[in-house]
Amino acid sequence: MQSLYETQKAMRQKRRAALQRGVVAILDVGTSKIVCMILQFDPSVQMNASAGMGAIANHGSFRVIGVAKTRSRGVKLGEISTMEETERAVRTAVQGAQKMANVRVDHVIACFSGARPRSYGLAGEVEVETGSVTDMDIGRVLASCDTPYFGEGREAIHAMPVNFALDQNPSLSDPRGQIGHLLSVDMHLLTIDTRVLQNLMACVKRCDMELAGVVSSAYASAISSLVEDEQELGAACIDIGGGSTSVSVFLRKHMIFADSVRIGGDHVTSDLSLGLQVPRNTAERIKCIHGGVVATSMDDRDMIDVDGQTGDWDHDRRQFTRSEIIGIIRPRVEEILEEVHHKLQAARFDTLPSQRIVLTGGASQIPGMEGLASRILGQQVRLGRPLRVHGLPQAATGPDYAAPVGLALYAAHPQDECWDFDSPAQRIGAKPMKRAMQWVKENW
Amino acid sequence: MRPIDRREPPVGHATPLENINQRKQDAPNIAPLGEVSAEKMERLFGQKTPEPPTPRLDPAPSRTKYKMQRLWLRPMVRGAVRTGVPLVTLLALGTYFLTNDTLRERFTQTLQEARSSIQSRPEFQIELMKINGASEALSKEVRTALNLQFPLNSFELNLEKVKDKVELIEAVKTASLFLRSGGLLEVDIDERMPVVLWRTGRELDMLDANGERTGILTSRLDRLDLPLIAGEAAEEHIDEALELYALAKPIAGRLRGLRRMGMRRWDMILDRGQTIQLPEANAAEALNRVLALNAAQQILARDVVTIDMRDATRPILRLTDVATEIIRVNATNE
Repeated sequence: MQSLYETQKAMRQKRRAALQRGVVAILDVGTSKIVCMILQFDPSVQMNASAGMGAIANHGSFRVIGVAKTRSRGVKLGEISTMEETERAVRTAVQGAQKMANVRVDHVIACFSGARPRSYGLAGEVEVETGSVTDMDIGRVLASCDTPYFGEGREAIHAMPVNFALDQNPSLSDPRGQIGHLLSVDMHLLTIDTRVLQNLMACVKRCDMELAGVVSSAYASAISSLVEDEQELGAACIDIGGGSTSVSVFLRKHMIFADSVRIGGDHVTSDLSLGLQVPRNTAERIKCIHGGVVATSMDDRDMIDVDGQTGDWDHDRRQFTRSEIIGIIRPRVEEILEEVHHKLQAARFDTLPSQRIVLTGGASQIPGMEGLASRILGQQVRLGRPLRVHGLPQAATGPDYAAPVGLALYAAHPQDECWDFDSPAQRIGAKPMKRAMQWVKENW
Repeated sequence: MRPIDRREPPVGHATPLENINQRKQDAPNIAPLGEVSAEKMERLFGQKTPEPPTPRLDPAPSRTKYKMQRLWLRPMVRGAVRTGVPLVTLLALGTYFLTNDTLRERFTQTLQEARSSIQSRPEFQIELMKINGASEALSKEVRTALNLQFPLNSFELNLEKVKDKVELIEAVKTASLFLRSGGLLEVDIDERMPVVLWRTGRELDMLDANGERTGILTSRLDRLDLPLIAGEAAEEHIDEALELYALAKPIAGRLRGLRRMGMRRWDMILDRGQTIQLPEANAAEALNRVLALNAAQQILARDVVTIDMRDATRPILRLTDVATEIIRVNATNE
């Protein structure tokens, strides 16, 4: 974990440098599309930040000056499977966005949905050294959390302090400066496959850019789709993407759980392709134009021409009713939602004070999705669209842009993470001379 | 490729035109068997073979192109290429040109040739000179003074110099020169008109109203129409002299001229040696009195040498010696 800790710290430094330059790119590496956005930060607000206003002052101070989207290639289930192809797609997106913005970007914040994220809730407790809580105490309490064994080849991508408790006060968001004795913390740790992250890093590096942050797309789409009271009272954001569906649960404005289901809209397309015996392109087109999950009697009469593009007249002149197409789509969508339901149950979502569910992502646009989801997941389901962001073109405001927009919000206003605080071990390591002197004093 | 249309075949005899149209319609549905040349297909089916679809190009930029674009987005690189490179190229070319003698010579030579080839065009040749507003004698004088050899190149002609040369001629007040199309040099001359002759020694100067000399005469007979004046600084009071001449119209036949005396007053000289001495001020009034006397008593027809009007209160007459003698004899006889 130490190496990733260092990497994350270095990425934080780069993020700061990028904000100082005022231009940062965000990259959403999805299964069906790769989106690159270029953000420009307002330098006047940057000045406030340097004057000690902190990260809050950056919020809403950016403007999207370039957006480019390209079809994703070489990405399967939200993970890079063919490096060369993905690199080309990333290059296309980055070049398009740079062309639109007419600005060169060197720092990129990326997100991806795959890599089998796994959530851990950690707790730590420490005595406050001086009377009031300092940054050092927070670093100590974060370091005191006992990390479980993640498994081979897994590393933490997010380690966010979710809740602090000081003596009898159970819920503090920022205990610094408060008088107390016993400081305890609840931390949410999200681990992913290291290999996937390393692939992404290599891919970005091959595009001549530096990675200034990595975010799980479950988190990114949630911060753009959930409104403030949903984040506060408890809500789940379900981002149904192309290759995978990410689930995240928010409570008290912090992510407390994230997971992903490795089924998405692409599986619906392949089902259609198999079922109708048509190429994937045609299947995708039929899904987007005629797709649905609730069949009515009207749909039995709705005949749809299906062109197989084989040259065989009989095969190319088939017609299906819309009901048949819905009959292919619906089981797969139900499967996705049931998987999501299992994940939410595993996270004990039903114990939260509010059980709002927000559907977002490209596949959430299937007509009738809301009704089906409320039947499986619970009553409080709505379709979420990302927040409006300054300068974002109209074409990029749909639910399929939830993750990139959330990433932009994250870039402007990142959550404090474990690696923003110096861990005590590191502080001692930084002063070996002092330690040696101390040893001499104690032993002689 | 479109699937074959399985419509019912037309019943009955088809006209040749219908046959051709049917074949044209079916043409894209029939796949060629083996290699059939495009011309043969065209001849057979009366329609061009469809071009094979071009494979869709990868939209991704190559790595070099991507890097070049990112390099181009650097403001420094862009500025250097946009201003630096042209500037350096210009400077290098300039230095090379300035340091290379043969190149420079060739350049100047080419320039000269181009220049002379333009100058020698017929549009720039002057063939004629036309003089406006001058008498015949004056225009002859102008022509000899300028001494221009036609045809003449208008680039070689310095109009300023020519104008100065023309204006050096005394009879020319001002001159303006125009180059007209068709190779015509037009000289507009404002001529000085002589109004009086001024005798200085042997020659007679012709003067205009401002006292400027317009020419020289050797004989008074050349311009009998002009009045004659004489004396030092007489040219400064020509208007006064002309006024006196105008007044003296009744005795014009006897008038010889006016002489300026002592640079301050006029003497009117008549024939038979008679002189009317006029005062410095009110000369015209004095002359009028003399003319009135002459009209009443024919004073000028008598033996008077001088009528002295210098003192208006006391006109004095000087008689001829003969008259004085006669008066004296008559007095003694009485």
